[in-house]
Amino acid sequence: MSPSRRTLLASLGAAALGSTLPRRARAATPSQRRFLFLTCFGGWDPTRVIVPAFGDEAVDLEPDAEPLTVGASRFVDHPDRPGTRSTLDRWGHRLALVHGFIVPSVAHMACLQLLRTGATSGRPDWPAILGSASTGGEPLPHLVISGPSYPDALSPFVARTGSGGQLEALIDGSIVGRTGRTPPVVPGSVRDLEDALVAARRLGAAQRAASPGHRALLDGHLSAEARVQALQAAGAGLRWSSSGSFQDDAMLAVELLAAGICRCASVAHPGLWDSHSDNDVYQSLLWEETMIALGAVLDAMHGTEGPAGGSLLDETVVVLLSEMGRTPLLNSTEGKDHWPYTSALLVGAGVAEGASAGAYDPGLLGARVDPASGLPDEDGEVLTTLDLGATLLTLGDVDPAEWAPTGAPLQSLLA
Amino acid sequence: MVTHVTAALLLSACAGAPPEPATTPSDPLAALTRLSLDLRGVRPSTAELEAVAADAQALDPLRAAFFEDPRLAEQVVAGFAEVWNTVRDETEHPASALGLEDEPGFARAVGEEPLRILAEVAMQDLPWTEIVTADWTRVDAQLALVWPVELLEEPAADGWRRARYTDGRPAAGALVSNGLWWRYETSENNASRGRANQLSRILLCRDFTLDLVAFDRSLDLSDEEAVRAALHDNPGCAGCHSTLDPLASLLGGVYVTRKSGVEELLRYHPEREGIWRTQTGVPPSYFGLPAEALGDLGQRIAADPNFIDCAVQQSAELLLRRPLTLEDTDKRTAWREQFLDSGLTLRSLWEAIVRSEEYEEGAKLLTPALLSSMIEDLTGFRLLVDGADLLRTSTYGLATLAGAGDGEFATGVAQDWSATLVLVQNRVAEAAADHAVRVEPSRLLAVDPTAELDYDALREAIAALHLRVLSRAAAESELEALSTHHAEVARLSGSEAAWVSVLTVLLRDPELLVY
Amino acid sequence: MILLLAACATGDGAGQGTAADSGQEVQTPAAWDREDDAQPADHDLTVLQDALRSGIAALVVLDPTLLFQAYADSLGHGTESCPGLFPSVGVMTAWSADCTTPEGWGFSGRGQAAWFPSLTIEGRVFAPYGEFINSSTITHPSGAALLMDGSGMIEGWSEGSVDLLRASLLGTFAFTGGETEDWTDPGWLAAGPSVALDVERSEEGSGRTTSLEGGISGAFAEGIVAVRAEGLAVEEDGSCTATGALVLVGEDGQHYRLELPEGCVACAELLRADLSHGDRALGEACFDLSPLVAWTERPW
Repeated sequence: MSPSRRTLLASLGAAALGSTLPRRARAATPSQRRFLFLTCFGGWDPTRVIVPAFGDEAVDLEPDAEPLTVGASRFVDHPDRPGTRSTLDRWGHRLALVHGFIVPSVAHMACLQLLRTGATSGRPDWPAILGSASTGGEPLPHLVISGPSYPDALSPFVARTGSGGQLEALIDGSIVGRTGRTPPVVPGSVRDLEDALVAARRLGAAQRAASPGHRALLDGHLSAEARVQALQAAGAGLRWSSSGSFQDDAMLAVELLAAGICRCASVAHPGLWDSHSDNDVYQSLLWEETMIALGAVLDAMHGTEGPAGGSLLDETVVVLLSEMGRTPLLNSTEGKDHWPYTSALLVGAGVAEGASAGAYDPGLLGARVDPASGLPDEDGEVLTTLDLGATLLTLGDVDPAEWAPTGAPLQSLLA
Repeated sequence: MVTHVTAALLLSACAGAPPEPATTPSDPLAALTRLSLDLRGVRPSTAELEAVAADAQALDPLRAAFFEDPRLAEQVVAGFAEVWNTVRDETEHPASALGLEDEPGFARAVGEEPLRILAEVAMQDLPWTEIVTADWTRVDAQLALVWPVELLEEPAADGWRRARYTDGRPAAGALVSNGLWWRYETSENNASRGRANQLSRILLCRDFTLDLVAFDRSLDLSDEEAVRAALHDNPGCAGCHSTLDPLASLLGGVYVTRKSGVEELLRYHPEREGIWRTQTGVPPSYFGLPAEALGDLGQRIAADPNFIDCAVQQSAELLLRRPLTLEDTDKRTAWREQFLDSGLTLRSLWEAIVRSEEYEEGAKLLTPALLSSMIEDLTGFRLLVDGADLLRTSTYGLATLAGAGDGEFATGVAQDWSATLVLVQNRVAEAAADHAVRVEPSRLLAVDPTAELDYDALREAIAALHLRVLSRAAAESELEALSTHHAEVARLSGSEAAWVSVLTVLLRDPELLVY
Repeated sequence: MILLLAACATGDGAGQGTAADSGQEVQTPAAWDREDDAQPADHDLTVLQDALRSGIAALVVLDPTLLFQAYADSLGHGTESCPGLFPSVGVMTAWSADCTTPEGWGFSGRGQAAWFPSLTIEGRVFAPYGEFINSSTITHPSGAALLMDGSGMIEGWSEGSVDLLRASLLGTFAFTGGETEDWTDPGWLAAGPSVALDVERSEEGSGRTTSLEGGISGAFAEGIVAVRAEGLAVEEDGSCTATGALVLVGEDGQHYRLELPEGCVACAELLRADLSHGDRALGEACFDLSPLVAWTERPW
């Protein structure tokens, strides 16, 4: 058995066993940090909550919006969003914000890929990279509960739960029952024999492999099979499906992160944020739902023990994103159109509380900033998705030089 | 008798032995299997395997026969489905809105309509340009009821037949198919630019959205009029819009918005061909060449060398399951020339590709669609829920978990094992094996699965099964291990269960999906 | 040990034979020399003449106010719960429903519209004023139905001595089931056309203009399915002049174009558009566009 295979199986086995051993409380190191990506697809209007553009006459704010200061940060408060207010009151002091980074496209899908990978094609996304770099032996390093995923060459590290509980049905075998057939009943002893014979045959197949490509694919099966075994060992008793609401998807992600199933989890808001008309109406509803869910997630993480022994929130970076912003001014149908400058929200392990990086110039143009300080600097550059990506990778102890070579980690956000 | 443990020792000992010299890329059985799966969606029959094992020259006539097999049409549909991305699990307007009952079937038919045009052009050896110039489309039984078409023939064996739209659509093949435009929407603001880009991506391999936009900070992006002017005056915008907008201007006849009802979506709208005047404001043209409407667009694309290049690229990448690189340039050029010499017949292009070293040397994973057709052919089993094949659907199916794209966020098919692909294979293997042995035993087994067999008969039956399922003869050690396994399981659970178990092992074998 | 090693022997299968390169020289890529594709046949000139006549007639009778009025009348038969209007946003009323009133009026789909015979906006009087974005079917108790799937607007106003109208329709609109006592006369809606038309009219003293951009789909003569106006402007001020072009579209995608000479009642060469072979003349077709400016009562 090659060393790499032995190491993999050992680490996966340890992860499976580790879930049953009592833990000592210990802080997560960067390489142990987990990530929860929450994406709002369609282009949010950050001036509803996280960009208090009061005083900027080139920006149409909502009637009755008021500035809100929590800790060192400023937000937007509105009487129609009490849930948002509640979340900000509880967690606003810990939220870190990135402002004014540019997503250089106006097409949704291109922007989404730029946001999550730093490029329009040919690169895996940040959670896939972080997942692939995990040393925690999670069976499903990046688990996509809903929304986009760009695994590229890292697809072995990425899994989906499926919107209809497909993963759960695969794990427990009930998938066949959905066809109306009775799932075959295989005694454990027989299954053990089958597993052993399949494993032995795989070794033989690798020997016979016609080319390095064949051999690599067969080796890939070994790794994947090991993940399945670890998954089946660790996944017993876990919930795998949600109601499909944003909050429930996010809570499911919390549970699976806590159980050590994944290093990264991705969830997308099911609504379309693309408010070309009636911006005030749609964005208010969507933000309220999202911020309520964020508050519930942070509450749950705070009260949940993480795999490393601390609170899950102290082991996890929560990232709230959208692929684009919206124009500062309303259009002729009371909507706002696509805008290439947007913001992101980070909170959790390794994220400096109440920090910010980047800024907006009047009219919601991304300001030139110094990436280290995050402060406006005329000699600086407008932040990009690669800077955001570099920051996330740094938080996860992944060298950004390989995956986001032109991105600079935003030091002001790093605790 | 060698025990199961000894058999396992035998195999594990083999793992430590010096590796056998790798079989040459031209391993005829492997080549036969690859051709059979790519061109027919099924593994070779036992007779075909035995013929090629006896004489490698038998591969040539079999290859030729595969290209004549009607199942090739399904592979054309499935392959180009990955590029066109028109097939989805649900349509914007359900079948019930049109008085139809088969929702999954309707959704699939709508998405497949343009692909069925491609398949027909391929199977009839028509020039590939017909896909954008044909004066016909293809419909199945459901589409025939609701699309505004006149039927031109009786249905073929696949249930599809040629038809002609009667609502003023020009002869532009897939460009005027409802299936294409039900998939790609537009809006007043977008003014068909997104649609134009999809055409460019699909037919010319040029995706405008891959280019990063250099936003001019002096431009007030919130000023609609300023933006509209910048599309043509500002170099950062005009670089794309100078060609994209005139393309979009050609699409007025298929303009409907995502707010439109189903009636709007059914018909072509020739009265809207001039709508560019109030939308893009830019006269239609094709990369600077005159064109008025969709009919002209089809002719311009057909005359564009990039269209031919793109067809070669897409076909090669489908069959090789990897992107083409600079190193492929010479081969790509040769395939292109062969495509031209053949009269632009897709079958000739695919034949040129599958005869290449690049094709023979490649290693790839089965797509979920191929897994489905292969399993059904071997065992008779399909993973169907309410008429939908779970290996071909994403929303409530397993296709994406098994590596397929979903046409929205995940495009392209994964070429690596994932945990979920292993789970899918394992569950399908169990269910398919159970079905094959207990429901359709004569399909795969030459023996009665409930009968007790003597040692030689058992080995012979297992050998035949191994050949059929994995397209190669079992090595002696494998045969021994499988026979021992059969015996052990039979002892525990009976003979029928033993056959289920042996077949499960073979269907769980990663070799099944690697070819 | 010997047994174990012997058991490691792999099977055969190392076959030979490769697909050899063709050995062709790599040639400079060439374009595909397409043979001329067969074009759908031309329509008979007589048919085209008939289509021109009926197409112009369809453009003449297409009065957007009929649609707005029919829609507004139907809402008058709605109830609080069916269709149940959302609170107004500006001047628009909106609904989204699938219901039937106690009287038997059915409302299905969604509608967002405004209709005012006269409305003052920021000191400016619009008479009429209307706009809508609908995907709706409204059914009369008798079974007659109004389908509105699209959008439209209409504004009439005055600037000095000039009275102006601007209207546009985009979508499919139809009235089925015949006349009803307490609803609209079907008018042009009975044909159920798809429309993409911008209309501008003006009246100053005895002078009138009508400008049309866009077209209507329908059955205008055998095999002709649409008529389009391109930059059509008809002006009457003692004499009638017309500029622009008319286009007829055949069911197989044929396009026939008529460039207008100056007169409203005239004949001109009808051309069959053909990108591959070049446009060709089919003969003269005659037309009368004067009805577009021949109203006795101002149509708004």
